[in-house]
Amino acid sequence: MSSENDDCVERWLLGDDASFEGVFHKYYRLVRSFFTKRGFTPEESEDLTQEVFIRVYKGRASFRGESRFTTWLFQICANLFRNELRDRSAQKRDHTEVRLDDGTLGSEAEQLEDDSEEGADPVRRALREEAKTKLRAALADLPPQMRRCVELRVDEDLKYREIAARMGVSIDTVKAHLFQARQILKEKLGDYFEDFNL
Amino acid sequence: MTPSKKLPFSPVLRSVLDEDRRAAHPTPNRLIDYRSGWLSPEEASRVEEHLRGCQECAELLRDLEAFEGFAVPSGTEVSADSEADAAWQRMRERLPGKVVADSKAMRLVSAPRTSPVAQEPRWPSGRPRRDGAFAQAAFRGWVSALLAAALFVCLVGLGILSRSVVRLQTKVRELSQPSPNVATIQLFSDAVRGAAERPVVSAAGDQIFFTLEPPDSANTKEFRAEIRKDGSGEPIARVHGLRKMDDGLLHLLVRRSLLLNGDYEVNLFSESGGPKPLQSYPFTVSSP
Repeated sequence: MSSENDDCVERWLLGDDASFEGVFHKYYRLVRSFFTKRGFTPEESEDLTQEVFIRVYKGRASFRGESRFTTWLFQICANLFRNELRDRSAQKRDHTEVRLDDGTLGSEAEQLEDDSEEGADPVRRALREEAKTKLRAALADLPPQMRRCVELRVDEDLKYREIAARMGVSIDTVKAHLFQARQILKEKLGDYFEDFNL
Repeated sequence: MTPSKKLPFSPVLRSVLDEDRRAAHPTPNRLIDYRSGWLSPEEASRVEEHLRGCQECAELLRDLEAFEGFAVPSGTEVSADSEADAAWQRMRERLPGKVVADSKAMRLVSAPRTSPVAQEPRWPSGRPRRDGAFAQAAFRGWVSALLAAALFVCLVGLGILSRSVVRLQTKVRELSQPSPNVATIQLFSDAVRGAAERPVVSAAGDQIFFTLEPPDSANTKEFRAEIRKDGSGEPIARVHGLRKMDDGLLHLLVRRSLLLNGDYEVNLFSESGGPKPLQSYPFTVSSP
């Protein structure tokens, strides 16, 4: 467990639920001001702050304590902030036009699927978009070090020792992160994806 | 989504990350990776270049630095925050299972709402009792004793309950995730391991993380592993449904408390096969 986390966080991470009140009180203003200074109304900021702490509470099992608690807290705040902006701009777009065949998708993997018969199916495409949204949300809730291990393993196809060297951690830490990430992602996304080879 | 429509995980994740890279701004995750030094040099210089021209992302990075350098307020400042108190009351209602102890409610029980002098004591009927100063004093004493006894019982009960909850949570946590304080041991098949070698795990942690190399001849997708003490018939631990990882190895997490110091073996079976193990892996557990 990182010594950079304070006692209250440490106790809560070790399973003492009652300590969560202390965690909330200590970081409440920090989180709330993150949203208020970005132009959200006091009510919106309050709702978003509550959502951040709900995610923290639900994500305790995934936080192993190698990284700072506040880095993870920031990750949740900032991703929620970006999602909120995206949702708002999507709502505005929905009011003006609906495009099921938006041609802006362009990654290699997607292009391959789009070229197939299934890729042209709007329902299939919508399901894929939903799966991607869920995947983004699940990644955003993983603690930073664990998330980066998953990304390097899949995106750059790195071996355990290469991930360990890049991130400056032990190979055992990488293995344990990937082992746990596989369990978490399978639990959250098992309805959307057929395999979780990490 | 039905099983037939499930998607392959890795290509979709690559697609998501590819989209993120092509987005106008680096994601918060990329900013964290940048600050932590986890990006490749090329990616890091792309982020740096973007930060030079983007006020919004530079501000986000400053916030990340502020979060990481956040000095936790003192206990007095925290408890004096009435706004946070009100927010916490709303929060508690939304927490799954509402398992958080209601410490505020406990404080209300012990704190009278009005001055005891100003408030007339009442019997259960609700009518004030006016039998003179002695009776009132006796009544107050009786009520105080009753309240004190009730408070004592509540506190003892809450103490027992919270201890049980913490113990249960700790156990669930132990079982569901590898602890950072985890010992590791790698066990190889006969083809690699010398006959005289016996791997030793010096286990100081709460759990032992096993990496097993299945024998080349094993033609099965799913394995079952059983751990026995040497010379003993009954397995101490049994794990079903093990599958090979990308590196061709099997991973297994076992609680340290199950394995006292001594000699053991992991017997590996085909999940669909017979009672004869495909391979036995002897090992020793010792204190550090």
